[in-house]
Amino acid sequence: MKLLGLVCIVLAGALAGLAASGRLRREAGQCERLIGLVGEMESSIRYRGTPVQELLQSLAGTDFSFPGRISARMAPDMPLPVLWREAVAADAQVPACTRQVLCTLGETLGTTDTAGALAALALCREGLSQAARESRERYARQGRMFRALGLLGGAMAALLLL
Amino acid sequence: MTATENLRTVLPYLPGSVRHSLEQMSGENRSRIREVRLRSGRPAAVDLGGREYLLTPDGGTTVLPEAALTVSREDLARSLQAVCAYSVYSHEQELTQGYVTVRGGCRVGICGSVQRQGDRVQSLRQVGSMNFRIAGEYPGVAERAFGRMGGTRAGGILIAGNVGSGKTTFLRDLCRLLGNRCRTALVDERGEIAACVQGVPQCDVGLHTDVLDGYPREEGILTAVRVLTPAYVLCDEIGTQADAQALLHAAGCGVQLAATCHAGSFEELQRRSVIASLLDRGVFRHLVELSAAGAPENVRMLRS
Repeated sequence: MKLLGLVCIVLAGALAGLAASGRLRREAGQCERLIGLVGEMESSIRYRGTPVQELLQSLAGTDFSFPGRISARMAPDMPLPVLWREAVAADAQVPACTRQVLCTLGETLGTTDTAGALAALALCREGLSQAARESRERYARQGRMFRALGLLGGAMAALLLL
Repeated sequence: MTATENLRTVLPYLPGSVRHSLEQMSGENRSRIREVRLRSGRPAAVDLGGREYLLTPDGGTTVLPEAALTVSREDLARSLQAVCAYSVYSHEQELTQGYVTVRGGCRVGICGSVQRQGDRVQSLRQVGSMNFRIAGEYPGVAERAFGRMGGTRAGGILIAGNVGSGKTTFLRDLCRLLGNRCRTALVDERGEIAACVQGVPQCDVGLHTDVLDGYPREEGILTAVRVLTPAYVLCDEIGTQADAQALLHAAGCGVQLAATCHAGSFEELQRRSVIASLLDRGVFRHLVELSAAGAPENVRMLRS
């Protein structure tokens, strides 16, 4: 029974390490998905001139809730940058490292002509790529460390209790 | 939609202070508003029954600039964003032409500093003034003239009048009357006659009316003739050589036409070469002269 308990402690430590490492991996993945989302926005604006509300509505079914939330609340007397900021802040799927980049996009998207909108999206994509690169590096650097620390921490706790 | 209902649809596009003032305005004055004008760094103004008054913060009107509500550059920029549904890039074409049509068919005239490429306007750099024209749907305004012209046997109809004389309102009602009786095509270049939202007209333009929403006028006329086989084609504000060619083509195909154009009188019409050529060729059988909004129209038979 005691042995089973000790095994459970080691496993719990290892799982905690895996969870922390998984969070880093997920963050890198979410950054990649955001880059894809911005790419879709670029295509829609470049080739169809799709208005912001329609554009965000078409992106409502993705991993992120902020496009749907903004399009549902858009109205002439609701400034888009405010809605955008609130929706991005409320979306738990948006990695913290990308929030500022996305909010900057919300400030400029729709305020300029097509060339300006595409430039804003390209800038955002650049910022997201940078965030994705850093996330991947963080995962490569810290992911293995978290997994090892979790396992070792669990083993240490088990030894102490022995 | 009535003018009061349309004013309500326009309110969200206005700066907060102007909206607040208009909300406080007396019902009687509110129903008389034809236009709301915003000018950067100057007082907001309203057109009440053809006269322009400055707007006070508490919903009153004045002629004293110091007592009036001033519109800032930022107010105007925010209004432009709202009018363009926060998608300026999808309204580039309209902005270079100086207008955007919002829900309810209200046309917002926009001007300011522009960027030019050769002789044409390439883009709007800075907005300086905005004019919200409150459209009104007045079913029945064209009924009497329609009856006098012989209903669907009226032939070509030209509606002439000065700015603000109610040409578009008249054309909208004429479209309703024709569209309820025969196959009609409405070329609504600026989207202010039928006020289509996602393809559905918000104004009553008749059961048998096909709306060519946003089409350039000449292209719309030719498309209507080519694919819709209408008995009547209606369009607003003709005046260019391209319009005349398209109208002549349509008339040659046996389609009847109804169109509006800017002119204070028949004599003024005849002085405009494009319109004069259409009149000479017998495209129009009736001329409806409008002097002022709400005033009785004068129907003149141009040929028997």
